[in-house]
Amino acid sequence: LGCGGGGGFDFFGFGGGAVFPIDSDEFVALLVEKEMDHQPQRGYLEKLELGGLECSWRKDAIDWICKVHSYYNFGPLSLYLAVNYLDRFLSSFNLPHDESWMQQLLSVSCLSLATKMEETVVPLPMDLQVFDAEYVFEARHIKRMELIVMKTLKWRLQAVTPFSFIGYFLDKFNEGKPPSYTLASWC
Amino acid sequence: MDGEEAPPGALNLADYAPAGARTVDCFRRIRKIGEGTYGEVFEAMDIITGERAALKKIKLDDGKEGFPRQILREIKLLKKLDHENIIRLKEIVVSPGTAHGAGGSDDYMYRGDIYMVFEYMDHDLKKVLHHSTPSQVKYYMEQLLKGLHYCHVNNVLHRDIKGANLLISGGGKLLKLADFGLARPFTRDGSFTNHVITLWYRPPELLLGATNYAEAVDIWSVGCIFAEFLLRKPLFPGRTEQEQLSKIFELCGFPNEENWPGVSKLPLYKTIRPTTPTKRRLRDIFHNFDSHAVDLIDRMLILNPTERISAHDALCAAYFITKM
Repeated sequence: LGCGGGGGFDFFGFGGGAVFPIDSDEFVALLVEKEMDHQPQRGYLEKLELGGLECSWRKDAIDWICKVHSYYNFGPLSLYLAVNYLDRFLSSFNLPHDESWMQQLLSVSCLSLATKMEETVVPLPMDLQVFDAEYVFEARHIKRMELIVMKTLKWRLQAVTPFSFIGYFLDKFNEGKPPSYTLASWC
Repeated sequence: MDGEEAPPGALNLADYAPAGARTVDCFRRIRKIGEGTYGEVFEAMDIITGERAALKKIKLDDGKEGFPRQILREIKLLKKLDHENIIRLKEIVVSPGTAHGAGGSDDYMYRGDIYMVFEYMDHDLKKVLHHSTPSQVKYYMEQLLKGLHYCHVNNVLHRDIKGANLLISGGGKLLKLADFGLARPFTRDGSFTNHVITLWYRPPELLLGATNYAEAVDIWSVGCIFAEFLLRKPLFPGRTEQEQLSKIFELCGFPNEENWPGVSKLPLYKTIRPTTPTKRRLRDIFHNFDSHAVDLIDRMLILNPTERISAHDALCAAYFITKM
């Protein structure tokens, strides 16, 4: 099923009722509100600052995710989403202390989910495991971990990200004119 | 549900809590209502609220891609689309499953199926396709096009518009588009029954092997359904792709560079040969029908996809403006 990104919303009254165009203040207000649902649990930052298990898991996981991300040349949104899933998961899950394999499995699963959400060409989970693979997981194990991640995130994978706001602010900076090349290159 | 409902017609940003928190045990199964690509569909009742729902079971096998991307995409789309003529995904529940430990901490290792919980609809359009009154037809067509217009504005192609994917409720008053994403089946068992049914509504550009296509593919299917309403039988009931094309060309004329610039470059164009009458004679089979309806069908079933009418323009057509 085809699904392009972005896309403005027009004012045809076919749906009936009020319609917010994608760049309206109301739409952005709604985004800000919804963004709250896509953030790590309270206290996560403090946990990270204390340098607990989450902190080392996060560092290693992001390290690995970034390497694979650049290896496959994925887009910026799938990197952002993978880390968003990772943070939200780490903030709401009690990590087992003696399972270092799970950290790797979690990294693979977050990246795998993010690419399936965003990328047009998606490598198989087996093929994602290209760097420093101390453990290599079979697809069925990754599937199970993906399910656990999705369940923990309450199936809210379509996260509101900074990318969701770019169009709105570009429009504001440029007083409604299409962005110039110079402006776009700064973003 | 938490949060406010998005205004009708706007992109739905509301998520579906407490999705994932509940298991399928929260529902009482009433009966099996269908078979999807990934598993069965059940009518069920929410034990707590008493609300009826349709549960689509997604059987997860141990495929190579982990959690199927197709399903992830369908969930993503359904959560994004919020329109009165598009089926609403209420939540996702998992089967309780059995603990499946991999060395000690087994609580979080479960293996199970997931269920997509949809609002309940009475039946599909297939059931009424061959016996609807002209005013009902207009009513269904309008809702179908409104739902489709909303999809197209949001850059979503349905790609499998057919009677079985259009659901009816409210005593025939409400039509909703359903089955997003699972529509394109990659059947593992090699059966192609599904394939044949879909074939009847497949546009010429896809049959000719185009890989670069747009909204017009859905409009062709809508045109076929519209025609089927009037004729009370399928318009192009082909059994093979080859036969499908001949049936289309027989009524719509043979495509050439003149009526469809670029057609000769499509991968399968060279494999087709003109059948004897190559002139368009689609209107001839509708000579006893409402001329506004026939005009609209004629504009939906134009061979060249770039000339085919859009959902928006179709809704503005004389057919919808004139009263019965």
